[in-house]
Amino acid sequence: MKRHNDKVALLTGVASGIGRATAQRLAAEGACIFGLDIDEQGLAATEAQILADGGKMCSRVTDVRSVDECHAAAQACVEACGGIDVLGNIAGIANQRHVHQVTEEDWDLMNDVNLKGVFFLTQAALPHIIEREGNIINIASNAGLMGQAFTVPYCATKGGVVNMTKALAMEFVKHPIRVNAIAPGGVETSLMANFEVLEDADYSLMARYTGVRPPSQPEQIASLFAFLASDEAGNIHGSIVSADGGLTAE
Amino acid sequence: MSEQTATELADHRYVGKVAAVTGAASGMGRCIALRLAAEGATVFGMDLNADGLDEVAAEAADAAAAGGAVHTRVIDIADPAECHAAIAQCVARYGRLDVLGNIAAISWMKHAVDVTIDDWREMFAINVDGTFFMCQAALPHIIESEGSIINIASNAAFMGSAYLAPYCATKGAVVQMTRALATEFVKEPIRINAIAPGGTDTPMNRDYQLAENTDYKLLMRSMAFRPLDKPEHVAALFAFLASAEAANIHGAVINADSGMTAT
Ligand SMILES: NC(=O)c1ccc[n+]([C@@H]2O[C@H](COP(=O)([O-])OP(=O)(O)OC[C@H]3O[C@@H](n4cnc5c(N)ncnc54)[C@H](O)[C@@H]3O)[C@@H](O)[C@H]2O)c1
Ligand SMILES: NC(=O)c1ccc[n+]([C@@H]2O[C@H](COP(=O)([O-])OP(=O)(O)OC[C@H]3O[C@@H](n4cnc5c(N)ncnc54)[C@H](O)[C@@H]3O)[C@@H](O)[C@H]2O)c1
Repeated sequence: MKRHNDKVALLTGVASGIGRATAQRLAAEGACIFGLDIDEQGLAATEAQILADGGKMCSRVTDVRSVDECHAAAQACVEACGGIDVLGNIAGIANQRHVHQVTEEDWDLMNDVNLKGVFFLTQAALPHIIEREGNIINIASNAGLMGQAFTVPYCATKGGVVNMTKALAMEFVKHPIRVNAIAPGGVETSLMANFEVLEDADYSLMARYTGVRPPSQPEQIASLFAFLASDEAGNIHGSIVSADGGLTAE
Repeated sequence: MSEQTATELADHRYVGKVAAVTGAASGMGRCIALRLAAEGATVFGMDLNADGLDEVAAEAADAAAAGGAVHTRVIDIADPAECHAAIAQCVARYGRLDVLGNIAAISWMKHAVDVTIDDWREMFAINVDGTFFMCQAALPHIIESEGSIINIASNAAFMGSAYLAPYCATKGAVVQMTRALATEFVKEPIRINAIAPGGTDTPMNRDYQLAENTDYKLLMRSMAFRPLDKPEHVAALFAFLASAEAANIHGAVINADSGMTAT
């Protein structure tokens, strides 16, 4: 399938995990990737792989926590690639904490990456997306749809992404664009590998958000992203698509 | 929107697969049957409407190049025994069952006070009983083939729309049935999901009769801002969701309604 021939995809978090797999998938379907991440080395590795596979990619080291950097990145994408067809807000962080352990710094960091970054990159990209009649996909999480013990700040940011997606969908329902979110369950990425479970976590509570099926692969989220970002999904707008092996059906 | 046809887009994801589809004579069911056949599936199309089924089978002749075809059986899905008999016939004829699509349903608008017990029971018999007993009949075969089931719900499962109480209730039932089945079969190598379309350009939507003395202010609260969707989009989502590309999507209810349920 070459559903993304000559499309420009501005993606965050492409140095690793879901972002990298999504960049590779869209590039394989013909898109030009403008990839952002705070991790310079990982970003360069993704770009090298995509170019070696015959794909097109430019990258720019960006900290999505900075409003200025978000706006500069969108501008740079338009200058380099001529416009923006697809915006993928994929970068994110997660951790476990008891409520009493959460510091103001913890809270702000989680909000700045997972919520503020998504909003301001969206704000910067929107006029260009409207011009190209394109679409936006935010990566939320099952944590945005269910209450999970020991991840209150993460749940709050992902719940925020879910409802930000719906609110954007309503504000722009009369414009020819689409705004959706994907809510993955556990995915085998470095986020999952580095996830430190609290020593004194109550496992009976954690079991409620641990899937019965094995975790997903990042390529499976990428295939959903590639479908949802394509014209084949022309009637999907304001949707939160769960891809979690049955976790949120319970 | 590019004007590529389903055949051009098709990746032949269904070569060698058998798909049983209800409601295949019209609207979304027809588009889904044709899309799967264009991607190589042997489709077993079921419907109450024999003429419509014949037309779809003939239209699917193009799919032969991809190895696909639409075969048909007239059925009233309101009868659980017929559901079981139809699935048994499909498996006996084509040797396997990889995909079940529960698409057939009815809908009408009425003031709640005017709904008779026969109205209510008929709608539940088709929309809910038909969906459940098709799943029940198909499940052992779907498990054997490690396949998937997709039920068509509706935006009406999520929005309380005036004059549609029975329809909303049936579609809410389809959503929760899908989720409960997904949990019950989470340890089996199968996937069970639902699609919740919004207003879509099909005979069902075109033939809606407004209830007498409709309060337009209430009606407008559940009207879409965007134009009616094309059934081909529902078919594209169905073809993605029932394919190996969606291997980690299970127990999901995917809204495909141009923003209707975002509010
Ligand atoms: N892995 C899972 O189990 C899982 C489950 C549900 C949702 N998600 C979500 O999926 C998304 C991708 O996560 P992943 O699993 O691929 O994780 P990952 O850690 O492999 O990748 C996340 C990427 O985001 C980048 N990033 C972090 N902070 C940044 C910043 N300030 N500016 C720019 N880039 C930054 C990281 O450098 C990294 O490359 C996240 O939004 C995450 O919340 C992941
Ligand atoms: N069209 C819309 O706006 C819309 C919106 C949301 C959901 N839906 C749902 O989408 C699905 C498809 O609807 P459509 O719009 O294509 O409608 P449609 O009326 O065009 O097709 C429905 C088909 O189901 C068949 N059917 C009805 N009763 C049957 C029975 N007892 N046994 C066997 N077949 C029977 C009909 O003969 C018809 O061919 C339905 O589940 C409907 O509730 C439709």
